[in-house]
Amino acid sequence: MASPPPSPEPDWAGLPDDALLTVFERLGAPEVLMGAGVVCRNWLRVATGEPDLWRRVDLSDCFDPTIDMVAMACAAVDRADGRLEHFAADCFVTDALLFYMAKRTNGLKSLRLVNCMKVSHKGLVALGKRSPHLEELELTTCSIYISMKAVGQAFPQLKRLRLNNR
Amino acid sequence: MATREAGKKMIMLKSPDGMEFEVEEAVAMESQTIRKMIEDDCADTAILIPNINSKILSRVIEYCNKHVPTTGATGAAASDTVAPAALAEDLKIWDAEFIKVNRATRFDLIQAASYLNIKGLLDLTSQTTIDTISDNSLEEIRSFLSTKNDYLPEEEQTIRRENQWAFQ
Repeated sequence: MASPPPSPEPDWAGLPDDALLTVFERLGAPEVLMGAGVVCRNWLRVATGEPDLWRRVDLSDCFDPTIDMVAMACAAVDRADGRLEHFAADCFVTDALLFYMAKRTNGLKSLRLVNCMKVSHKGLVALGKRSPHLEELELTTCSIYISMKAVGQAFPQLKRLRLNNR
Repeated sequence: MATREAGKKMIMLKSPDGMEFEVEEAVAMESQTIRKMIEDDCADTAILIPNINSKILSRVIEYCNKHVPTTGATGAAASDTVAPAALAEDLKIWDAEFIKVNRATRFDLIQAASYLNIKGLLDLTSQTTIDTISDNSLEEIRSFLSTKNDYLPEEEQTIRRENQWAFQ
């Protein structure tokens, strides 16, 4: 029996914007930044031109020592265009990144940092001053020298604080 | 084809290749695009759905028929005896069968879901794309989707510089 002729491959580059947004939202920030978001012009346009896609940026579990992770996180902050609400990351976060975020966003609601030894209360306080809506802060295995008193004062709206030092 | 049932308003949907589908208004209104047309009184006796051929439109109607909330026009629940969790499980199994189509059909369904604004269908049809892309490098994604790098050489330089982490 003859098999039917194969259908021509669809034009995946031309996926409609709402379909691409659905795909990108579910893939999450690291995959969009590190691959899917630069596949072609159309995909790059959607990945960089829709700030709502970047309200939630979770860069946990994607640490790669060969990549400038701070620069990549800054790009995610830029794409959010001031609408960043939830940020999570591990290992690579520095005070410089927190200063960068503080300058570009004031709607942060949650911040989760794991194994971030390069973060001090200076960065946290700077971000806290610019984040009047921040309600959830988690610091897991971060520097023990962080002054929690200063951090507490910098985040007056805090409802949940998780500190774990494993 | 749908038959007229007492008390249920019917809507005629027409595909560009001349097929007509009579469907319950509630089923058609699973599409936010059609809902808006009906609510704005733009829908006459028949609604022409451009760019969606009869083969795809019939699949979309099949999806909407299955997913329309199971409350009849009289307000009585269609199935009082079945627990919501069992219904959800049944829908999940049905969806998994529904989406067993080739890539070209899936692409057409994505476009139809986008044009007709049917969130559930868009989510369902996009999931396979997500599974294809997930955990793959840029070049692997391009190869799986047979998508070409369409940047001009000078554009590509800038894009590589601004997105170095994608080109390691």
